[in-house]
Amino acid sequence: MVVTKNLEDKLLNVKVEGRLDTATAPELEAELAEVLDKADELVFDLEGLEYMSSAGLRILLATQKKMGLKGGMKVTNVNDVIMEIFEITGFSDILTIE
Amino acid sequence: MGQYDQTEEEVSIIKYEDFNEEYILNGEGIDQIAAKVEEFLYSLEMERANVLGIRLSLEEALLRWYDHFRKKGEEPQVEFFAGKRFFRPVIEISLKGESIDPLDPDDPDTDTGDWVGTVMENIGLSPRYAYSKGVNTISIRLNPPRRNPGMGLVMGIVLGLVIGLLGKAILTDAMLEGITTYFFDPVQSVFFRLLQATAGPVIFFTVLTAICGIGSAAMMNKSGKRLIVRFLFFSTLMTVIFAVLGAIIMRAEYISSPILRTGFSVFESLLEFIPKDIVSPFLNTDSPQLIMLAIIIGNALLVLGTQGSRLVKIANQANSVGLLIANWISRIIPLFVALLLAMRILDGTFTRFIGIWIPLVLFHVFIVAALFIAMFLAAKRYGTTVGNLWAKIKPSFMIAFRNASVDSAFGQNRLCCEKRLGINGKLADFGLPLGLVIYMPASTVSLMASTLFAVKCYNLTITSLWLILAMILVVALQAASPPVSGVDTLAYAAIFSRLSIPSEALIMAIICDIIFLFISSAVNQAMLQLELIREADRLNMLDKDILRKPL
Repeated sequence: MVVTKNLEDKLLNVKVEGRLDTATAPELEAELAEVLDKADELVFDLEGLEYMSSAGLRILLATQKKMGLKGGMKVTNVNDVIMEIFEITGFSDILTIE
Repeated sequence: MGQYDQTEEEVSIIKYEDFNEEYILNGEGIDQIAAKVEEFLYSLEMERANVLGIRLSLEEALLRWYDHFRKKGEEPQVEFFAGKRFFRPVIEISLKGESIDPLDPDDPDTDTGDWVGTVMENIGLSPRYAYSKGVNTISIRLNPPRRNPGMGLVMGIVLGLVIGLLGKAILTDAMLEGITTYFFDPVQSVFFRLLQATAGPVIFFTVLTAICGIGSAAMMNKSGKRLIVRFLFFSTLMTVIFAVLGAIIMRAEYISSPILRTGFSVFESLLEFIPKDIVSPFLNTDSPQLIMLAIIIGNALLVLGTQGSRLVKIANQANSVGLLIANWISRIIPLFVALLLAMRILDGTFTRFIGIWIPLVLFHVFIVAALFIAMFLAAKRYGTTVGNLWAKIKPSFMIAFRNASVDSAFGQNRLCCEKRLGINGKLADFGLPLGLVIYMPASTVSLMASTLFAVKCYNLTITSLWLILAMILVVALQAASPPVSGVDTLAYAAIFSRLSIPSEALIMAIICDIIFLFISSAVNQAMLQLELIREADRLNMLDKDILRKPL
């Protein structure tokens, strides 16, 4: 998994590529922990994400809750498989997906 | 890697095998188990959405165990089993230690909510948790893979022929009469009563949930509304053309009447669709009244929106129960075929069905011609050739044909739509599931073919009114019926009952239906793909270069 972060004017863009599974999820969690406090808004770019596990969903949910208290969070460039996961689990109703 | 991450060439049937392995309960172990779960489920030819749902749910359960034991600094072993127990596929995950129910929605240690419960409910599965002798176990019992219906039918026909011919050769008239009176008739009667008892509620809840589902799809998406209208229009058109052709070719006894009188009769019949109360349609298994009741209640629930959501949920659950019962009925159909066939041979009425080759041939010729015409028009419209279109849809077509099931071909179908036909993935993701349930033009025509042949077998007279009523029933029931085993048998029971066709004709209808299922599954799917090409073009979601590019 490759995580690319870009923080500009309190807007944090996080691009996640590869597999977000149970083994790699702690890595994303650690990356987010470094910068989340500095951002008011967060945009996840999931264009390169091939696989999402339940651990990945937990991270999205936890991050959504944190950012909900600030400027909010968006998920963008969701491919069909990931979108299907969001729909199956009901996360499509919880997350802001563009 | 899941089935759909593979390249086109690699998408093939994954061979079934059992798994019985141990893993350490950590991140890597959970991922390994998840991969095995997916592999096992795809080997059962399960739909991708269900595979994802089950995989995610089990991952979440394992994560909850992992969180609990990690706090104590432990990394216990987990035993994973996926295989068959008493002929049914089962997934079991066991963990030694203190009792922790990872499926408990009220677990205070987790704040991820109860999406697991909802996901499993939607798939129609109930994961179980048990704790015994120091071992926590989560288990999920799955539905067995769909059997090829042709095998069961062949066995039923062979058994029926053997019993019938042997009985005719060995038994005396007195013995035949005794066996018929004390065995065959009661068993036949039980089966018909079972069909009658089940048909009403299944039809009602199937139509009700279809209305609620269609309503939300249409409200969300103009394209959905347009697709539904086109689906119903073309199903009806094909059924009407076939009904007229079929009545002529099968030389049904037809009495014409003046157009005005027919018009009034149709109007009167349509008024009879309105039930006088909500109980008698169920008591009488009056399918038009049940459909009307379901449409009225379904629309009322749509208008109520969230206020009616609980009732919609109950209706969906009742529908799941009904479809499960229909599925159980479909498993005893081969026995029923054997029984009825034997009875018809023993009582000498089998000769009625000698002409069964007529509807079989007529249906197949009609459906193939309809598909060819649709492909020809599509090829002309989009600047490609029929040969090119056929080459692209052929792989998914053949899977559906071989398995007599659109479910089995869903993966290839989805790949075909996006990678070969140039249909945008988002439209395919929306249109395919909608169309596979509602748009079954070949299946609608098959219902009509069997109904017309039944009329011919029993020398019943048809009128314009009868024909119109038959078309309405056939289109309505087929549109509302999901592609689930056993539902067609119930539809036949309801249609024959309403059109005064003897129940004995069901044997012939079931045989025809199972034979039709192969080509009709494949043609339904192909017609849907052609419709989605059209809709994609309308929405500028069609990559014509991909569509035109030869394979």
